[in-house]
Amino acid sequence: MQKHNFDEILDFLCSGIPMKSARESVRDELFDHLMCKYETNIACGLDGEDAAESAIKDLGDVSALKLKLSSVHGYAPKPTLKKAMNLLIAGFVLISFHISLFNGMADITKFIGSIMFLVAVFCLAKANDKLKKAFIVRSALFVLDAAAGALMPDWFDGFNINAPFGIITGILNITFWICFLGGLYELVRPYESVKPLKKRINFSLFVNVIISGVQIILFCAYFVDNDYWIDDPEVAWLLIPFAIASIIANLFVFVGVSKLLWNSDHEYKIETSSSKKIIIAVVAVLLAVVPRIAVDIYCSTQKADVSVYTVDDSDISEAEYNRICNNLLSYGIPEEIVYMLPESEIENYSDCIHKSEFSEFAQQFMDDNDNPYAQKHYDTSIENGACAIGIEDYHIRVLSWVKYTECPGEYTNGIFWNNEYIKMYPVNLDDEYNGDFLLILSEENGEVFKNEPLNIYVDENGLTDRMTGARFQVKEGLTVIHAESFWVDSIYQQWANYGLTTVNRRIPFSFLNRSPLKFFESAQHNSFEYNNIFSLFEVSWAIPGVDYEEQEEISNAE
Amino acid sequence: MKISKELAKGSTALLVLSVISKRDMYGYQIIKTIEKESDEVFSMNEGTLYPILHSLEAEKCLESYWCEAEGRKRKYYKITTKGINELEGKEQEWKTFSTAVTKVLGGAKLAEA
Repeated sequence: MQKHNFDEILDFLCSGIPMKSARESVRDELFDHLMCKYETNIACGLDGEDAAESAIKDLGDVSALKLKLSSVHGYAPKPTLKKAMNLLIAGFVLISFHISLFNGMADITKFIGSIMFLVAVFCLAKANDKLKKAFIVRSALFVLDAAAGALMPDWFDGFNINAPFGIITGILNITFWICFLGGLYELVRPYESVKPLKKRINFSLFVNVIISGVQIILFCAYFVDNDYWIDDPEVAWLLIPFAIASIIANLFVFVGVSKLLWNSDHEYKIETSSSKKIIIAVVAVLLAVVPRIAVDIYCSTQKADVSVYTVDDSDISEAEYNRICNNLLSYGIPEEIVYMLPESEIENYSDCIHKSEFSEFAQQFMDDNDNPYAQKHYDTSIENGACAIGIEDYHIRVLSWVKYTECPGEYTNGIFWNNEYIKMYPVNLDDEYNGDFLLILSEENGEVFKNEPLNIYVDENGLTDRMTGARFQVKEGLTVIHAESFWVDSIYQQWANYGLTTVNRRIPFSFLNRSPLKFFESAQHNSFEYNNIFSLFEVSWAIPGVDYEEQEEISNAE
Repeated sequence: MKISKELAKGSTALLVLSVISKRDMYGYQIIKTIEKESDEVFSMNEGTLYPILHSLEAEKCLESYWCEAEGRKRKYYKITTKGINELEGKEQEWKTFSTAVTKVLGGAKLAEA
């Protein structure tokens, strides 16, 4: 009888201790204690039932004792581990699958997923040293990302932080996966059914290390030579199969570990404190948001100098002005753009001849959309987020126009960039920035204002100084026009990219950009958005009335 | 005379460490020893003792081992070097505390006189 009673009370007292060995140890100890009391009571003359009842009564408040015991042995009950593993899997899915049902959804899901994943890693960190290290490394990635996010808008000004941040991120990612997968393996190692899981863990580790390893190599290459860029489509294509493999392998590992632990009497300690988990989540969110907001606030203090805009800024005669404009219009450039240009800029095209003055062959040459060398109205080849112009073997003067009319106003400052991985030979070495022309106009209350750029970035490493970008204050409806004149003199095919974008903000948790869809997007597009691009190509060798083939002979003879 | 719980609370770990430092003991024995040595002033219940024993064990102040006794398993506790240091510290703390309390009480009596 007393045995039954003790079983009941012992079951109750030990039910808060999840670790099997600890639970059994406490149970045996308390049983011995109750039996000592019971025997003493019997010796004092009580009968069996009363002796047992008295022994239990002497325990005092059994609910309080149960609470104290579970508190001392503080291990999480099974469901808590299950919850942590579920959180881990859910977070990983949100990070990996780049779910985007509406604009910006992928970033939101990645944000939420990364927080969930971090909290889950935090919960598991108590289980063993490797998981603890994994949590520390994961936290370091968040701190690094916060630093990169804060520094990113101004990276164009000086040292390019992309490469060092990319390299450190890659190293931390590899360290994380080694620690984390090693830690998970330690959790399941004692169980016999671990063998197939071990293979999955090894494979998962392999693909994760490969992805981060390739990224480190690319960032190292980029660090040495800016011609190598991490977002190259070829690289993205290369990483897609590894990214898919890593997601599948990781999910198999997480689900496998969760299942195995659930079906076994695991004895691992994990974090159960809700307040600590909330603190971790809040700190992670603050790290992602606060530095970026601080930078936005800083940027918002930078205001462009504005003045009422007028095109009348030179002594050019009206007849000459009209002649040049007429010649430019003959190539199909819209009137609103031509007449928006200041007279001083129009003067630069005084040698531009009317399209009709070219030979029919040359005109055909220019009209031929399949031939990129002489398109007069080039707005069809906006590919890969940039206007690509192929130029080969000819002296060609290119007048390019970029019109941007839909500044979203998401950021305080924008950047016009001219991604020069081509070698350009400017026509006029005396002009400031080699004749690059940038016009930033805003319309307020029906009046047009000229905005000075906040900064102009100049590449001083080429043959001559050259504008590579300009930062400006974004306003709704802002129009940015860029014109550039240059000669290309090379037998090699050259490519020029023009783009206009808002500040190249680093999206929070960019270190998680490992989803295949993300890589696929990189393979398809750059992230720059802009509207109309018009380019005028003045074929310098095409003398009116002279066939361009003859001109080519003349050119070769020279 | 029974001591109030609040007063005894701070000295429980000291008492437990103290009795175990004399010889290895199991839970029931500790309760009985403390009761006996304090002339039944301290009557510790299980709800207090076992959580304290387990905490001290987790803190490495105590070690435990199992023996067979009366046909069942019995868990004995043994003090560690860390436990001895802890005990010395707590003893010193207690002496300072009790001396101060005695002084204050003595002072009050002098004032009354």
